[in-house]
Amino acid sequence: MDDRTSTDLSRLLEAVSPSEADAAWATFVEKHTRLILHVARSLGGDHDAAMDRYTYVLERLEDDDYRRLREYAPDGRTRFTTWLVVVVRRLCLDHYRSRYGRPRGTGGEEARRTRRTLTDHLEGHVDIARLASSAPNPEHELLAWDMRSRLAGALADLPPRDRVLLALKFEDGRSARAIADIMAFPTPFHVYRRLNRLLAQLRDRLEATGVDKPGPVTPNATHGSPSVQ
Amino acid sequence: MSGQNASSEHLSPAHVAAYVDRALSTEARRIVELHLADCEECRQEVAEVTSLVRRSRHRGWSYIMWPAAAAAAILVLAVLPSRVDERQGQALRTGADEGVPAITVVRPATGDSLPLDGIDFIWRSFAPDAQYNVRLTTAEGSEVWRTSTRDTSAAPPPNVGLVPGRTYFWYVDALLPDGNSATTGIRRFTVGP
Repeated sequence: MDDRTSTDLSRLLEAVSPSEADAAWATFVEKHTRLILHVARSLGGDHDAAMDRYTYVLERLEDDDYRRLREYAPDGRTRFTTWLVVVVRRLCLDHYRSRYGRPRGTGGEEARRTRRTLTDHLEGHVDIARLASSAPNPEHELLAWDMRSRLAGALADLPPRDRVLLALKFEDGRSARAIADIMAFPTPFHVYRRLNRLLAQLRDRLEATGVDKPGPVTPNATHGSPSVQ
Repeated sequence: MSGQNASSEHLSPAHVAAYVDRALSTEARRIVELHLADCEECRQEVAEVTSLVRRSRHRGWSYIMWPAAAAAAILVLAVLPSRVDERQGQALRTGADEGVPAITVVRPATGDSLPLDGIDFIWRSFAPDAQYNVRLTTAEGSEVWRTSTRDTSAAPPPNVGLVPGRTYFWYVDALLPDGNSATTGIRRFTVGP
């Protein structure tokens, strides 16, 4: 937080009279209106919707003698504006949920996630997408479950940073550019390079658990030793 | 993440902001990532906040409005380095500065380590009546300070909050009354302890 922001916030939070607080609040609003509007608009909707959110955010920030702003603890490295973006975004989501409920259900999300393609990138050790969609055969389901368990085990052994990388790519479907921004990789190329290494590592681990080599899954494979050709 | 169970509760605003700003210690970052690996909601939040913050900061770069004619402004925007994306010592320049005349830098030299109280940028005059626009960014490309001057030197004020030990980048672009321009190119320095 730069000195001026720090001073502005201190003046607001330490105001001893209502008039002093009003003046400090006006300064704060003026200084951060662009940021708050930026976040309010990012959630979509028309101008009125964004302005509703903006008003709601200001009211909530003002609540209980600026309780939310008092929660900010400068550490010398985190920007106040970044923290404010997080708080404003959460308030905007609260506003949305209070009006419309949760943005969307997660019922279809789980099914979609089980069909995502981490295993496709493991060069066909197992095609979970195909297995999961051929649900009528219980043996296939069992095989898919077994392979998911093996994969989950291999993933659990990875460092947290690598697991986040894989989740962003294969669960959330984010681009390499977005992942580079989120995880501070120098370029998208570095993201791909790390992903390639991780996938190779996962292939090795799957092989070590009994998956011999890439190939089509044999329908009659038995639980515990899925056969590949 | 004091007072928080990394695996079951969501990240606090402070932790999300610190993660986005790369302000966490190695251990704290590991704990946050342990949570992120299993929490789609927090990953979504981190991704959106990262995007909002980056967009906001990058857009700040384009708020360069000299009181010159619109045509001149358009030309300047065309030759300004459109973006700096420098991390972990690897520089990428995506702006079109090739072929743009160079401004000679007097100091600091690229790679210099400068004391916190002795950071100033000096360059040779490129032409009479040139307007110089100075930018200072973090290694991540976020702008921390900028100024416009007709002088051939500039120094960031103390409240910019540069951090000892960190690497920063700076450059100067010159705008001439006839619409031509020049640049120092991006320069790097480190704030000494």
